[in-house]
Amino acid sequence: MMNWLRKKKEKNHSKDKIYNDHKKVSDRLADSEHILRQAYSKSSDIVIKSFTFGKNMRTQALLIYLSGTVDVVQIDEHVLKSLHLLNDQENDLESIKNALTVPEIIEVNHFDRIYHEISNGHPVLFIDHLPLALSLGLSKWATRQVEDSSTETVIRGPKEGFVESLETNTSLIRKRIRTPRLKIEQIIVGKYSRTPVVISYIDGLCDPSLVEEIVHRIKKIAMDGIFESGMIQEQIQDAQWSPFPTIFSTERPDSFCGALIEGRAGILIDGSPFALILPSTFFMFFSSPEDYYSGFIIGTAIRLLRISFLFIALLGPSLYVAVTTFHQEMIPTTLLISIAQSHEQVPFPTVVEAILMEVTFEALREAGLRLPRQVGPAISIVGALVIGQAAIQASLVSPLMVIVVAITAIASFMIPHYDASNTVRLLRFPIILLTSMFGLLGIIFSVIAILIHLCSLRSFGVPYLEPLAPFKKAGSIDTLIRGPLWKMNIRPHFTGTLWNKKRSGK
Amino acid sequence: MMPKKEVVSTFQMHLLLYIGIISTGILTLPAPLYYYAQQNMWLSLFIGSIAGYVIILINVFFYKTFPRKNITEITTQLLGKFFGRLILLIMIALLIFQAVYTIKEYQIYLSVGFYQFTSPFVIIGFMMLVCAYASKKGIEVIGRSAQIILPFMLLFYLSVSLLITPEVSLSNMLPVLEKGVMPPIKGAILVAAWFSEFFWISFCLTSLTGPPKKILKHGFLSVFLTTLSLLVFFVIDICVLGNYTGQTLYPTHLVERYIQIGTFIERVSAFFMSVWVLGVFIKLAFLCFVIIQSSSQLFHISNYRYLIIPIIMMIFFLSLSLFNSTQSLLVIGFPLLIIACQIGNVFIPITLFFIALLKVKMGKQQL
Repeated sequence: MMNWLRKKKEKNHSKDKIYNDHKKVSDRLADSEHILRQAYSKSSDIVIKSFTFGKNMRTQALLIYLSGTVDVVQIDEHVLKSLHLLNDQENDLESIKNALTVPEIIEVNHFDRIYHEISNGHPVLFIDHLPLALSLGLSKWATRQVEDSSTETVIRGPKEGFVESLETNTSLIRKRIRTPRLKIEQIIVGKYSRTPVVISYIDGLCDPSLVEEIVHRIKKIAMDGIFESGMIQEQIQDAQWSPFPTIFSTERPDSFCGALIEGRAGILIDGSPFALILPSTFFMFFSSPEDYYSGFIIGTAIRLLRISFLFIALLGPSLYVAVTTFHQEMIPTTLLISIAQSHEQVPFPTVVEAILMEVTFEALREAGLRLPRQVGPAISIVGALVIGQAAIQASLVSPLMVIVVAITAIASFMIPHYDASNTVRLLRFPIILLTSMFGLLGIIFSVIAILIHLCSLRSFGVPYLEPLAPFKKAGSIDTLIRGPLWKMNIRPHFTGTLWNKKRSGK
Repeated sequence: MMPKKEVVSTFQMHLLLYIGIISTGILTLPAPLYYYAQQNMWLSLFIGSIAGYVIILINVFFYKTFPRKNITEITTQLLGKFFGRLILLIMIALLIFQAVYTIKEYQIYLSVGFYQFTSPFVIIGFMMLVCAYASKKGIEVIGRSAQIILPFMLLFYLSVSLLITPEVSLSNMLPVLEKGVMPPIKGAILVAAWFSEFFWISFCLTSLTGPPKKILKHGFLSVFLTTLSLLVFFVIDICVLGNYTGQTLYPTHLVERYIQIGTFIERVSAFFMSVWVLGVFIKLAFLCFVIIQSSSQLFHISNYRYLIIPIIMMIFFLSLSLFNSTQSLLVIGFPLLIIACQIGNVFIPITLFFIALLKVKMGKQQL
């Protein structure tokens, strides 16, 4: 058995050999062509074009690229035409490089690097008798236009959102932070996907040990493919068993740049419009970029509203269950009578009613998300029937329960960050169950347990509840309230010794 | 990034004590205190708070003369291995008794007022579970939780004391010192027991950061604020209830039931209970942490987290079996608590302080 397994393993290994990943480019063109044809066998989109150039057509060359990823017109214009103009004697590396009117030329030696360049959409040029290949920066990918960000919408503020192309995204950042201090480091992740992952930070503001730690953690990722920043987030965050997200993700270049300027670091990956910001703290998940654009009085009021509705989103249904089943003395008598009346027809205990309605609502929400856009309205009609008049008329639920579920739903939509609102939704259910057994005591102890958990979380060494617990004067002005911008003149300190304390004014 | 040593600021540390003392103080102290000092119980408060200042001074002394050492190490250093450990064992036993009493206080308040039909097993069990979780996460996390809880607590207590003002009649405070100065002084012994809890800080001196001056400053401030907060509630109790203060188990609970603004702000008992439980949780989590940490140092256990389950279980079963009724808690438990506090948190520390002072003066001790 073991022998057989070993054989199978060897066989797999031998299959990798035809790709010659670690082989160097030889100076014989035929060898290279053989290896490339072998590696790209059964690939209909590969274009391998051999040609000769020079006055007497004596120098042989080979151009290889993936169709659809390169700009064919430009190859014709800047590569083929200019090579044909060369003399026969001018076949050394320097003169060829000079002849090519391409802005970006990279010399590559190894085949794994060549494959990488080809996959990146760079046509690769081989010249006979030269022991290297030239990768030409003439890629042209199909990419989405920069559009409104769809998950984090604002009324006042820039509308642009990140797109799937890394180059576009970095240009969006460079457009906002115009200094060479903005660093963009690249790491390749994924054995097969070879996804470029970029760490971006501002030199002199971001703690170097933080960047080191991020690079270290990203390099530890062992996966075949990375297609979304969520896949990186899950593997590099500190508390992997916590329902709370400890890394902030955003689709908006303005909040990304805002975080960089605070001294945080960001991660962008090719193929995903969602950027990661770290270290991130609890209150980042409950603030919207618009808070900073709409004046501090309005911003503060909206933040307070949001935080109070966070409690409703988390505890609303359980508070209703606790009050109606355990602590009736808390309700004014007239209201109590009407609650009792409305509940008279309903065959279930309140907790069953609550869980039934909450689960139904979550199901409706999920169904609405996954539906094709054309069928979307159907769900809202069905939803209005299920959570609404029909359910009450059928005596399945009491009208008050419908109100509670509706308010909870609105409250959970008020949380600006999608991951955080999912966490709140998830935590709601165990709290309802505990409350149905122990009343207010269940709520209190769930809150205490969540509080201890939140206090113990860290995001890249920074306590999760940072500006409030432990209390730091510098950042506390931008948590539950949004202080005036001119008062935020001290940059928050995260980890390490580097602390560029004063925000530059003059 | 290596996990650093857990540290709390002096502010957080005193906050823990402040929340702990006022939580149990406002609910269970007024009734027995009224028995001794009647309407002069606010005077007892001021006299009793002297104990708090003294103990803060002792804490600062220990922190200054024995840097980077807890009271457990200090005791063995001062008294030798055998006697030091014996005294420590007594101190820890007294701490465990205080924890058990606090849990019973909490359980009986909930059982009498809100959960007549829920078994004490569940009520105590919940509290022990979160305390175990908090002790596992360490003092840092407990300190931070206290910081988050504080504003909610203060806001609630403040609004309770403001909303009750229509019921207050100041004439209940008179006459002052009707029976001489002795009754308030007797009452001060009870109050001192509460303030003596500031000595628990000495068990966590190694987790503290900052100069000794800061401990002195924050310590005195927190003793003063504790006095002030208790004073507000004691005065309200007397002014609203008058002679009736001594006849109920939980005067403050009764007072808070008088709150009625229009017809919509009334019956805040359940909220009062919730906020109170938050405060008691901070007190108990800190106390459990202190017990667990100092016993691990006493028995030389490398990681205090090994002791969480045994000690929490012990406290759990002790509190299930001791003082099964309100009467036994009040008649037997309360005097025992006062004695335990006075011995464990006042007498032993002061003795240790004098021994240390003597040794420092005689220059025998290499410090």
